[in-house]
Amino acid sequence: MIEIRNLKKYFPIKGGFFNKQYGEVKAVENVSFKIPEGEILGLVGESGSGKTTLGRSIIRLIEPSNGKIFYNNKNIIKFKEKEMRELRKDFQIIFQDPFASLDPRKKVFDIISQGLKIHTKMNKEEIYEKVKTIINDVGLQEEHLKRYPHEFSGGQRQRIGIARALVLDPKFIIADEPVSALDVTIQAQILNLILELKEKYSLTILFISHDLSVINQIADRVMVMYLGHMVEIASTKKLFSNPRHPYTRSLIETAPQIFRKDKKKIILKGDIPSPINPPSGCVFRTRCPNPSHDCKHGNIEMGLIEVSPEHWVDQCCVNCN
Amino acid sequence: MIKLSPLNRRRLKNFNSNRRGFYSFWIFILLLILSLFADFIANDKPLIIKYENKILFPIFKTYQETYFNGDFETEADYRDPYVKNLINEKGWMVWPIIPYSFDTIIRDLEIPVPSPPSAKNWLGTDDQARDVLARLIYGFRISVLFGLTLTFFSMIFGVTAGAIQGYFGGNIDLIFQRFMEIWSAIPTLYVLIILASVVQPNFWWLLLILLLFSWMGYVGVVRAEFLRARNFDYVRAARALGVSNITIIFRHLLPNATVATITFLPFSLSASVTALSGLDFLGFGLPPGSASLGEMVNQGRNNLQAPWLGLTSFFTLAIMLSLLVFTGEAIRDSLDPRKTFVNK
Repeated sequence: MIEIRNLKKYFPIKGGFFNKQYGEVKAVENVSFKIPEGEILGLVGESGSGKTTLGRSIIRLIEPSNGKIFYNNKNIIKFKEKEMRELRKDFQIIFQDPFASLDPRKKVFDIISQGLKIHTKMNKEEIYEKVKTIINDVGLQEEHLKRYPHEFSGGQRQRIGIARALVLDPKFIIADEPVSALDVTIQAQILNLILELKEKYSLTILFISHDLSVINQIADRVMVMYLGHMVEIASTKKLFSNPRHPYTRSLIETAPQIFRKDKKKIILKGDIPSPINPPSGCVFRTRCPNPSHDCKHGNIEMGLIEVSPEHWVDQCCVNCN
Repeated sequence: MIKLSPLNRRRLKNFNSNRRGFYSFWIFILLLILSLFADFIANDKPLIIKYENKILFPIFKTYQETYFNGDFETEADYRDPYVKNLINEKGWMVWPIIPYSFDTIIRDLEIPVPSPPSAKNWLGTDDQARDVLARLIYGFRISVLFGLTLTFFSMIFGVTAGAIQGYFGGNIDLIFQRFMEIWSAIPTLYVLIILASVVQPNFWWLLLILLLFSWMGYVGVVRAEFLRARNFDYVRAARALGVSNITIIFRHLLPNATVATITFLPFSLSASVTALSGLDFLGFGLPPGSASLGEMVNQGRNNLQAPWLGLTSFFTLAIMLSLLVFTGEAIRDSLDPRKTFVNK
């Protein structure tokens, strides 16, 4: 349903006299993947790996620098603003921070109904009925519609955000860390809600998170990003049972667990390198625990190879373990 | 009654608890309303005339002198003893408290002008035998109305320009900012002097010229608010919904800029009043004969032997501007988010 080919997003760094451009932040670099209809694709990576930029580029909230995005076999990069606006009702986004994503001056009803007023010709009663259905679907009551966002808790606000995203019956949703600002118990509620609504509204979801336990619970397939590059993509089961990329392994092994077996862990040293000046060759080589000789000197280019059916790993690091 | 949100109620409470600002605001409003009815307070026409069993309102309708069996077909000069006699024979007149308008030339003065305050002319007369108090009331009115109009239009243009710059950012912002830097370097006064040699500047000409420069005051604050707010998640969410730019600007962003704009209003108003008075003082302002505080200041300077001219205009301007600044301070403080949550 959604296919991304060689998507890139570079942010120019400008400054000085006449705003001369003197560099680029390579936020997303050559990313290609597909999301079939009805799938939840998890997207993990540490801060600064380009997860959010990728998510926003796919629905053109940020204009991608290069690449193709196919939605139902149409390249939406070529869409004009008007066509894109029409398409917006199929794409929606759920934001991370439920406190920032709702306009504090609007009542819940106005927040949820805004999309309907733009994209449909429903009359007032129809809009109200639709909003009422949605607010019940996300587990809130009709009387909440008259209140302002500040009267709600974080979890309730996230439910409002989800209701806003769902009111237009979208096909594809970008969930940009929708639970990372919430308490663990609320997280579970919201995740269940998303799964429930996914079935009910037959949604396709790109689920962005840095929390592997959340991804493990919700995603059908998982994609791992590092410094703007895809480094591994596989089904959730395969990825968690047999991670091939050292970065993925490190993410899985270092995730906090309550009952931890004390085994050897790969703990990465240092920080993610600057995307303004990424390492040549394999971008992971500066932090790779066991780089090969060629890799160390940046002689191997980035690129995915299929190590087992539907399990793709970066070619350089596949042997680094 | 409009139901205020709790935040606005708290702001109102904050404003009311600032006694100086509170009283300044209401005194100013009172003076403004009084001056709007200046025609009924100071006028050279009677409020009501009863003539041959008819009730007449000469302020609203002009009557020829022949209507009262006079000689001429021109408008009746009710201050003329001859006309007064004609009317009083067959009826009566009720005069306003100050029986002079701003341009009434008093012909029956016993002392050479400018004459000092007396029972007839409470603040004396100016050097053209016009009543100072009447001129003051009309001058106050035109100053404030000019200030309000100028403030209103500069707000509209300034907020629009600031919104566009802040929302779209990038090159639009860059070019606009450079344009404004050049534009604000043009000296207003010289433009006016040049203009005055071509046309006789009136109320609307002055408004236009001052407007050319005054809108820039708003751009900075509004632009800053928009630059900050355009990256809020709820604005992104609106964009993801396909909401048009115009709707986003009006529905989601403009409310963020209201506080900054409202805070700026009273100061903008007092600056407009000062600008008009300054131009009048220099003689590039309203056409000669208009009631104007600036012109009165100029008369005060030219007639130092008649201190009531200078003192009156000085105190009027000083009180009016102080009231505005006190109100402005109170508004600014009551909208200040750091002071909004203080419970007194």
